[in-house]
Amino acid sequence: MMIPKKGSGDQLSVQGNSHEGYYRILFENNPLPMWVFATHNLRFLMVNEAAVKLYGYSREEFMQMTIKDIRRSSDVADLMEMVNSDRDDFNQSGEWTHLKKDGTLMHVEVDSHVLPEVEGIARRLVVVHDITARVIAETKLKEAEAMASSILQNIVEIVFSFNEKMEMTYVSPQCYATLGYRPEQFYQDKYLWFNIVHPEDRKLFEIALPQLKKTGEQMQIEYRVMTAAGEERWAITRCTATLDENGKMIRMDGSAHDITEQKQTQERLKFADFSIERASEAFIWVRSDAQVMRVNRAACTMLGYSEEEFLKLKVFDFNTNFFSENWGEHWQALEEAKSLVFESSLKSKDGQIRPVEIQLNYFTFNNEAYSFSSIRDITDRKKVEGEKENLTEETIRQNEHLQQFAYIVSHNLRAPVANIVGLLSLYNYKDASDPLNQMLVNKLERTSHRLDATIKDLNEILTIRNTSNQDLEEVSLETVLAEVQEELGPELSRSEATIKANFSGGSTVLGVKGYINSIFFNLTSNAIKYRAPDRNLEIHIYTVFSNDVLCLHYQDNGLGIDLAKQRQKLFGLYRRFHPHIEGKGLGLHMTKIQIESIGGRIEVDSTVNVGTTFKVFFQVPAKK
Amino acid sequence: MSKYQKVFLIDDDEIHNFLCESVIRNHQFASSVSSFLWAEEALEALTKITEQDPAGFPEIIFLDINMPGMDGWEFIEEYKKLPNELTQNCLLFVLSSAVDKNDITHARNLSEVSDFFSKPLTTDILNIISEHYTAT
Repeated sequence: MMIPKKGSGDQLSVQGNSHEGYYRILFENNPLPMWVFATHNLRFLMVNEAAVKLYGYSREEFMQMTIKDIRRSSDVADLMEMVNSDRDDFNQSGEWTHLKKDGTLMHVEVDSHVLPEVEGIARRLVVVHDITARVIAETKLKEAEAMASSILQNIVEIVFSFNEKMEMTYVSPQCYATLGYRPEQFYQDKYLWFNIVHPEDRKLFEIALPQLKKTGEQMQIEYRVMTAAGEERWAITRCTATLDENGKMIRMDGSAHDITEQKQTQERLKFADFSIERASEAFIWVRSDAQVMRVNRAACTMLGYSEEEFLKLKVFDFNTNFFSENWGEHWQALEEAKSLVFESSLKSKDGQIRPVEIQLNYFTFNNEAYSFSSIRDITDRKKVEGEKENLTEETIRQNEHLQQFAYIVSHNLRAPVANIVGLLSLYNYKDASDPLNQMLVNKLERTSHRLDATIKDLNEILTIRNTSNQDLEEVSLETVLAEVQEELGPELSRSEATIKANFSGGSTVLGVKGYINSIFFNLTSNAIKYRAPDRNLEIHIYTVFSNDVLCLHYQDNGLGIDLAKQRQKLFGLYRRFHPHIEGKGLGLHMTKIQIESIGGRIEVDSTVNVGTTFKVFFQVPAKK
Repeated sequence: MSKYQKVFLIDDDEIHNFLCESVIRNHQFASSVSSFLWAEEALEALTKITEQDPAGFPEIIFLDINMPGMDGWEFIEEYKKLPNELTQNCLLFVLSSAVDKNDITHARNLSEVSDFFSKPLTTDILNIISEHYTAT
C-alpha cells in the first residue's frame, strides 16, 4: 500500500524547465481530457481544457475536488481498491462510469501514468477516452443480437446460411425440432442438409441451384426430407443468393418450413376433389338463392352442360319440379328436414327429360346455407319398374280374363247343360209317341245349338285375346265402313237409317282388319237394334286425331242407355240392356276385347232417348 | 192337391222356365206357375198384385241371377221395398246355373233369400222346400 505524501503541486513539472513549455502545450491542447492528481489525497492538481469541456466543471471547481467526486458513490469502493493497488507506472484501468457536473453518466476508458514527485508529492497523469458512444453502440448491438436471436428462437422456420462453397455456415436451432438434427451436426457434415432431401426431390435442387447462384432471385421449392428418425416430412424452402460485383455467389441465405400438415390437408382435399370429380353420381351444390355454385363432371355429362354454363344456372333451369315462385318453400322444407330423398326429373341442355333420384342435404358453411345434392339417373330403374308394372297389369288383366272365363264356363256353359239334363229327365221313355217328347226334342235341339254357339264364342274370344302386336296391319276405317254398310245393307234400309261419315281427322289405323270389320258391324247392328221406334236412325261417324291416337266417334240417335245403372255391365259378356230385343249380349263384349287386343280402348257416352256415342281409340302407324 | 197356390219363376232362359213348370206340375208342387223372362216384368206384376190383389201374392219365387236388364241382385233390392206383410210370407229362392262361390255366399247372406239352389230344378229341391219351409 502506498502512503500518499503530503504536499501540493499545481503545475506539471518535468525534469528540466526547458521542456516545460512544450509539455504544457501538449497537456493543455490535447483533444483527450487529461488531468493530474495527487496520489495521496486524490485531489486534482491540474485539468486540461478538454476535461473541463467534457465534465462541465471549471478549473477552479476541479481544484477543489478529488477524483472520487467524478464517480458515482457506488463506484468509489472499486476506485479506492484500484488506487490502493500496486499499480505499474503505466496503468490501463479499463472502463469506468464517470459523472458529469450535470449529473449525466458517461462511459470512459481511463489510462494513467506516474509522474515524478514534486515537492514530495506523488502524482499521476490521467488520460480519459470518452467511450459513451461506443458503449451505447455496443449495447444496441447486443440488444439487436438478442432480438435477432430471440426471433430466430421463436420463429418456426429454420433459418440457414451457406457460404460460396455451399457449406452450411449457420442454421437456427429449430432444425432440431423439425428435422431431429442439431446445428452442430450440420456444421460438422457440411452436406448433411442436401443428403436428408428425399432422393426423388433432389433433382428439384439440382435444377434450381445453378440458376439461383447466377441470378440472386428468390427460389422456392417444396420437397420431402427424411428426419433423423427416418420419418418423411414435407418442407418448403425459400432462399436467395448474395452475389459479388462479378456476379459470383458469395453466400446464400434462406429458410425452411415444415408444411407436412398443410400438405396432408391439401392432399386430402385433392383426394376428395378427385373422388368427387370421378364419381359416377352427379353432384350439384346450390346456394339458398337456387344458384348453382359447384358441379362435378358427372353432373355436366348427365345434363350436357359445360361446367361454365352450369355455374350460370339456377335450379329451376334444369329441375322440372322446382319453380322460382315456390323455391322459398322448398328451401325452408329442406332446412327443416336437413336431408331429403325424392324422385324428380331433370332437363338436359338438349331438352331431354330424365328421371332421377335426388338425395338432398342441407348444410351451413361460414354462416352461409347450401344444399348438396347427389343425383342418380334412374332411367333404367324406371324402365324396369315400368316393365314390371306393365307385366303386373298384364297379369292382372289375364287374371280377370281367366276369372271371367271361369265364370262363363260355370254359368253360360252350365246353363244349357243343366237344361239338357232337365229336359231328358222329362222325356217319356215309356210312351215315345207322347206329344211332350217331340216338344222336348225341339227344345233339346235349341239348347244344344245354344251350347255350340257359346263354345264358338268362347273360342273366338280366346283367339282375339291371343292377338299380339306383330299381327297388326294398317287398316283403312273408311274402307271397312263401306264393306260393313254393304253387309248390313238390307237391315239399314229397313230401318231407314242414314250414315254420315267424315274421316278428315284420319282414316288409317293399326289393327286387324277382321276385328275392325267386326267392330263396325257390332256398333252398327247395335245402333239398328236399339234405335228409337219414333224416329229414323241417324248415325254420325267422324275421327279426331290427338295425342298420337285416332279417336273414332260413333254417334247414334237411338234409345240410349241408362249409364248410371248399366255402365258396369255394358261391355260384360252376355249382357242385354233392353227387354223385348233379340241379342245374345256378346256384341259389345266382343267389340271391347277386339279393340283392346289391337292396343285401343272404348268409351261410351249416352243419354236415354237421345242417343249413344261410342268413342273408339285406335293406334296409328308410326310416321315415316 | 198342390202344396202351394202360386209360384213365380223369373229367368231369361225360356227353356229353363219350361223345365221348371214341367217339374212343378208333375210334382204337384203348386197349382199356378207364372214365368217371367224379365225381372222388370216380374216386379211390375208383384207391384200390381200388391195394389190390387194382396191375397194373390206368390208364396214362392224362383229367381235367376244372371239376366239381361235388371238382374237378380237388382230385383232383390226392389223386392225389399214391397210391403213387408206380403213378402214375409213369401219364400224367395235363388236358382242359378252359377257355381261361383261368391254368388252363392252373397245370396245366402241376404235376409230376403231363403236359400240358393243350382239349376236344374229337380224334384229333390222341391222336396227339400216342402220339408223345411212348410208354410205355417
